[in-house]
Parts: sequence; structure tokens; C-alpha cells
Amino acid sequence: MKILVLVKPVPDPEKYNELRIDPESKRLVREGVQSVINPTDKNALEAALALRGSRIAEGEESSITVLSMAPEFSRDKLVECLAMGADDAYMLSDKAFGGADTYATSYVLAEGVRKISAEKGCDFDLILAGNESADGATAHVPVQLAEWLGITHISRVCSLETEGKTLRAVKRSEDVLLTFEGEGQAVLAVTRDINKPRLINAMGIVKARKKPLTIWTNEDMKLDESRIGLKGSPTQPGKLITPDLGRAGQPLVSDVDATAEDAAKAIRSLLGKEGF
Amino acid sequence: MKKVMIFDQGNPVCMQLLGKAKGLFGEDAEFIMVRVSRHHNVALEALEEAIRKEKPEMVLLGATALGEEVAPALGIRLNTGVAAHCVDIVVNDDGKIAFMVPAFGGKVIGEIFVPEADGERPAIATVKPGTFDDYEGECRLIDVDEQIEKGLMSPGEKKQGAFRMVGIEPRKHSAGDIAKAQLVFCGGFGIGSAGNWQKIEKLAEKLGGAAGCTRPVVDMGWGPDEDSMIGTSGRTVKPKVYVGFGISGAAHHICGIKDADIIISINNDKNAEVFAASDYKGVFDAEAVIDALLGE
Repeated sequence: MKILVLVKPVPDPEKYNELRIDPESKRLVREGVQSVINPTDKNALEAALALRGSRIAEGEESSITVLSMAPEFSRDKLVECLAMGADDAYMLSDKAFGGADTYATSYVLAEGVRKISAEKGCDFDLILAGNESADGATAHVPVQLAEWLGITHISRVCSLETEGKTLRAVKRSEDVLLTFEGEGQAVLAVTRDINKPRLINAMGIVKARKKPLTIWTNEDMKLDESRIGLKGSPTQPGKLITPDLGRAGQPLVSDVDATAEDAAKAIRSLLGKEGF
Repeated sequence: MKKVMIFDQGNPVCMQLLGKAKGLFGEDAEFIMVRVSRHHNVALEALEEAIRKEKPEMVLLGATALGEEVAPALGIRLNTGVAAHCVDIVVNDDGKIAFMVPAFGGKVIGEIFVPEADGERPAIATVKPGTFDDYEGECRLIDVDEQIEKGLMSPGEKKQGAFRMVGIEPRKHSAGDIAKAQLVFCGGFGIGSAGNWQKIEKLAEKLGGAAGCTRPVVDMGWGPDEDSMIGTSGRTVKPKVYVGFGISGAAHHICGIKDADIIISINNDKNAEVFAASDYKGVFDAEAVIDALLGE
């Protein structure tokens, strides 16, 4: 079973309070905010590692390829994926890919999947991705990639089991759990509760150095410039605003020696005023 | 705007979308509701067909598990742009339709335009339930559910693809409560243990509210699942009173509580960022205050 995992380097979601909009350029300033692998993508990779493990245990060949469209400076994030256990990695990096919405991004990724498949001489049996990225959080890309490739997609997958050749994916919606079964190609977008991603160990880091990591620019991809980047995007961005969410923040109890009991009393009193 | 299509997936969000669209474009525009409350393969094909036939310039969908899977797929099939999780839709000074879309957990909101939208390539947008006000009114209905029941249509049957739906079961945990709750008690990483999460649940039960949490509480495995998670990637709450314990104040959580009338925060870190977004702050040990509230 050949598995492809989509990953996206994102600004560390724990640091979004540090993001500012530059008053002059009106652009987002993310200085000092480190990139991390999008958290849910790690769950996707973990699910792939578990699947590969069970397939190999059954005597089948199985491998994991990681794919990302990202600036070249985030190469180390792909090395992290290799250290977690992926077999090889591909990065699609070119200024011309920048500024893309999910439509143009998923197009480039789909072309990347096709090119990798062509080089390897076989199709991927399964594509896994995190359900949404922490930054844009549209949850579009896995679904849109599947549509470009003309294969099935299932999002919000909270459980993935394998029984022989059959995969069973459970999609969690607001009030029901939907179970899907199949053997063929699909893109499954997983949620964070599907598993607990493993930590990277020293051995993994050593092994990662020897694993292949390929970077393709658009000179390699040869995609029509009208279909990629901002130009290839049917949505166009306008102004950015940072909503003011500030409130008065007055002390619940003014006495500096107040105890937790006093705080509880103050909360009770506020609740009482609101009719609770 | 001549024609707006709205996806009725059996969730009240469709009426909220209709109300918003009527408010924006007036009674002169035509509004069409397409009702199909089946899984995504069926809904996707039925909607695609309805759009190709009716040629609306805008298609609005609730950002539910179903809507979130159908909308981006329609974007590819119809070669058009999709704006996700809009917090508002406005007609700006130039008469252009701007979809206000959050990013970075809601820390930033950006205008998104679909400049080439027309009847062949409608602008598509998703909106989370509860973003717009409830609305009562009517519009033309294309009832795909009924047509499927009568055997007149079977969208998605042939093209189910490599995976077939083999089971559907109701979830034990209904996700309805917290979004409608007038009183919300919320636990963050600072509560420190599964035991304290149980106390927050008990507190909510005792005082007639709902219990919610932040991402780390789910990730730590202290009890609640994502249904209880408040924030941009979880639930949005609009209670009269929100009381948070051990909440740090990450942007994605704050954006999920910003519409609360009163925000009270307890955190033993006097520099916690949540205080700047609170009406009342108390620098206390969360557990001690929870115990005191339970003890009263």
C-alpha cells in the first residue's frame, strides 16, 4: 500500500496572539512566530504510520511519501516528517505558487501527486491529510485535491481501521457517525482525536538525514502561470482587519487579600444579577 | 444579484442564511432552497445539478461537517471560488460583495472577493450555524429529499466512488447544548487534571449551565471531546455569562466566546492574555474557586 500524506508548515498556532498587521503595508507581520507542522497533519502522518505497520505485518509492501507546497525555508518541517517515520518527501516550492487560494493550491498539489506517481511508476492507494490547517482553517484542500484527482474524499475522519484490504473510515458529523468502507483510492482528512502523534526520537533524526527529500520548482512542474498562485485563484483577498476583542478586565474582587471564597461569592453575585 | 441558492441540509442554519441573503439583496432577487439531507456524495451531486440548472450567482451553505465537505468540492467542479466560515457578508462601497473570512484562529479577518462570479461560476460561501440571526420566511424549494423518496432521483448512487457508506449511527453526545447555553463554564489547560474537568461539569450541572473546554483539555485526554471545545475550530458560544477557569487566552478560543455578554476569567497567572478580553478577572487558583462555587 502506497500512502501519501499532505503536510503544511504553519505559524505556531499557540502564537497567534503575537501576529500583527503592519499599519503601513497592511500586511500580516509574523516576525518571531516559528513555523510548525500543522498539528492535524501530524495525526494524518501517525495514521499513515499505523497503517503501514499493519500492512507490513501482513507481508504486504507499504511506504509513506510526504508532500507539501511550501516555501523552501520550511524544508526542516519535512525533515521532521521523515524523522517521524515517513519514507520520502517532496516539496513544491516556487514564488509563483505563492498567494494561492485553496483552489490554486490544491491544483498544484494534484499536479504534484501526478508527477510523483509518474516518477514512481505507480499510483498512491491512499492519501491522508489533516482535516484543516491551523492558519487558514478552511478544510478545503483535502477535498479539493480529491476532486482534481477524480477520487473519493471523506473529511472529519475520526477513526480509521483496516481489515484485510478493506479500509473503514468513520466520519463524525454534528449528530451522527457515518461509516464508510472501501478499498480503492481516496483522500481521507483526519481530525485530531483519531490518534496521538508519536514524538520524534534521536534515531529518527539520524535516519531522516539519509531519506530522499526532493524539491521541485515550477521549472520542474511546468504549470501554466495563469493556473497557479494569486493569478490562478478564483478568490482574491482584500483588506485585513484585526477585530478588537478587548474588554475592561476589572478585578472580580478589589481586595488584594481576597480568597478563592471571595471570588466565588463575587461570581455568584454576578450570576444572580443575570438571573442564574 | 439575481439569484441566490441556499443548501438546506436539515439544519436551522439554512434559514439564517436566507434571512441574511434577503437582508443583503432585497426581495427583488430570487432565493432558492435546495433540500437534501443525505451524506456528502449524494448532496454534492444533487447540488451540482441544481446549480448547473438554476445558475445562481451565489451559493450559501452552512459550515457543518456536510457543508464543509460539499462546498469546496463544488468549487472545483464549477471552477469557482469558495469563502470558508464567513463571519459576515457585506456589500462594500464599490457595490462589491465581500465575504469576511477569519484566519489565524480569528485573530485576523480578511475580505475575500470572487470577482468573476456569475451564473456559470457562482460565488460559494460557507457560514457556521449561529453566525447570523434566526429567520422565518419562505422561498422556492427544490426538495431533493422528497424526489429521492419518491424514486424520481438517485444522486450519488453511481458515483459513490471507492468508498460506500455502510453505517450511520446517532452520536451519544449531542452537540446541541453548549452553543445555545446562556451560562457556560469553561476549563483550560490551567485546570490541570481530569478531576477538575469533572468538577466543571458538575458545576455546570449544579448551576444550570453547560461545560466547555479549550483545545489542550481535549488533547490531554482529560475527558471532553471536540464537541465541548470552544473556539474557531470548535463551537462558538453566545451565553449571557461565560466563566473561564485556567484559560490562557489563545486567539482561537477568544474568538469563540467574543459574543458572550459577560466574560469572567479566573487564572493564577496575573499576565494571562485572557484577562485583556474579559469583563472581570480574578487572579486565583482555578481549582480553589471551582471548589468554593461547588461548596456553596
